Amino acid sequence: MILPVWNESQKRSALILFGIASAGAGISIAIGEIGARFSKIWQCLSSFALKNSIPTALLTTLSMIIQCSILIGFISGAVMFMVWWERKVSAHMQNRLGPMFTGGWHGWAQTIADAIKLLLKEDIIPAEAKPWVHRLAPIVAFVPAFLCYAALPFGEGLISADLDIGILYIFAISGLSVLGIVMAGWGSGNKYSLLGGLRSAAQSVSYEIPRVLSVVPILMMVGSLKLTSIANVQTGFWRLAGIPLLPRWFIFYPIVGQIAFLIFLISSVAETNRTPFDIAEAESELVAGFHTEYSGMKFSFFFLAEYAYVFLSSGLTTVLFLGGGSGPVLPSWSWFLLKSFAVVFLFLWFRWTFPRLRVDRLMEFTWKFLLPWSFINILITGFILLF
Amino acid sequence: MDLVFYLIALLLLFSSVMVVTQKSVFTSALYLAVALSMVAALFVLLNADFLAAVQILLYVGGILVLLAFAVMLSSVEQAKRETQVNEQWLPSLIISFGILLVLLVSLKRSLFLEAGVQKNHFYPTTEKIGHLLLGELALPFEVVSLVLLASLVGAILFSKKEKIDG
Repeated sequence: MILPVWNESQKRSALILFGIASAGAGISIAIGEIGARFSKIWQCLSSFALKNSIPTALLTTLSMIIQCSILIGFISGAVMFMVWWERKVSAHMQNRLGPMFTGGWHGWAQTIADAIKLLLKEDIIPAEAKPWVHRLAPIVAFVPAFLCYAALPFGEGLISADLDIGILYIFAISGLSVLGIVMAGWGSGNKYSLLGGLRSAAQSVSYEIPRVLSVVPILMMVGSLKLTSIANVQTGFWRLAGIPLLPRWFIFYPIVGQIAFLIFLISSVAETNRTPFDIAEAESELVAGFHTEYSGMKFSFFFLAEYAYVFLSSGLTTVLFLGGGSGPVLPSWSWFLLKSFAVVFLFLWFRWTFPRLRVDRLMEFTWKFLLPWSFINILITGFILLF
Repeated sequence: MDLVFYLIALLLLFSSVMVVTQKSVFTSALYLAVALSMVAALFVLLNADFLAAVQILLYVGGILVLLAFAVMLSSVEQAKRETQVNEQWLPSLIISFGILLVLLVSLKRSLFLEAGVQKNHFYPTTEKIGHLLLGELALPFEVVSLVLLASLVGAILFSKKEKIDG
């Protein structure tokens, strides 16, 4: 085997990356299970409240506010990182340079600078637009994305609302964002926006169906819609003659698991309006599609919603197919984050390697290929469960 | 809890009225989205979690988006000229008054009989609904799915372009 010849700067970068990775692993082991720590803090606080006769309603309200703040903070931080990461990945894949100067080391502060720029930009409402529809659209697009995170299990005990209908809740609420895009398309008073909104409506309704149906085999096997119990089923190993062979993740379930995973991944990418499926904002045809007329903070809300959905889909994929937070040595939340960001990398990879689909082929692909195969998959699962 | 209910009910009534009185079809569709979401909120208050999620998934995320798809093609200019009201207000008034009467009578008969509905105990409903649909109510469930299949086939038949001979 011939080892690649590394020059000095590549060696230094590799060392820095290795340092970051090992420091991250060390810190996450030192922190341990966040869920358990949070519940300890909660117990301390509630006993303190009992002693000093503080009403529990106040305490629960405060806890809700804190949970929401943590989620918002996490989403913004993750989105900042993902935007930078996306640019770096695209740079490596397409031989570009990517951000290099802002902040010094590989342009790490580029997204922060971009965010400040977006905050300071002028907010423009076109004369042709319907003002209140135009103003409300970014909010309608982003708020559902945030609501979905409430039911996403970030690891053991790290879930804001462990709903019994968890997966159904996430599918239902995430479907609301399309309305924001449709509102943006109609309310901007621009033909390009209108076309983008129309395409987006048709696309998301079509891809929502195979996306939901691809999960049905998992629900049939687990017998629950609860995300924590779906994740818990997948701990442990598939054993061959006593030797642990593969983790008990759903993706390794013969045939059914792989088909379901592929359909879910493809339709998730389609739902987030990213490149092979980004006909709603195709810049070579529609300028920028539904967000042509948006600037400054309103545009960044659409941006935030897109990346929030990318991480949400990756988190869902992790919980449904990759065993959630299960894994050795590291605490469950860091396994969840590692797996989720690995799936996020898949999203980025797709975006920078596949060309955009044509509108009619996009529709044919979901109705004539994904949908029948998800039905066949459900049928196979039924047979497996029967025999 | 009661305050929440009245807030939701008020919003529901307001948005429902706006649906039928707005001039622009698209604005009506948006108010319809609010109204349907409020119905889902009412389901949540009644501890019907599955129904609430399905209400949002199908009505707001599915049907309403399709509705918006059709309505988006109506331009802003058209909305200024045309009204959403036609000449048939008298028959519709009579019909809706009749429906209101039936609802009031049936409400009066059943409302206070089932005062013992557990308000604060939440039980997940999904499993029970599943058992009911594939057990006791299997026949109506299958009939409904047959009707849906028939309408699906019908829709395909209508939208298919007729082939020219040869």
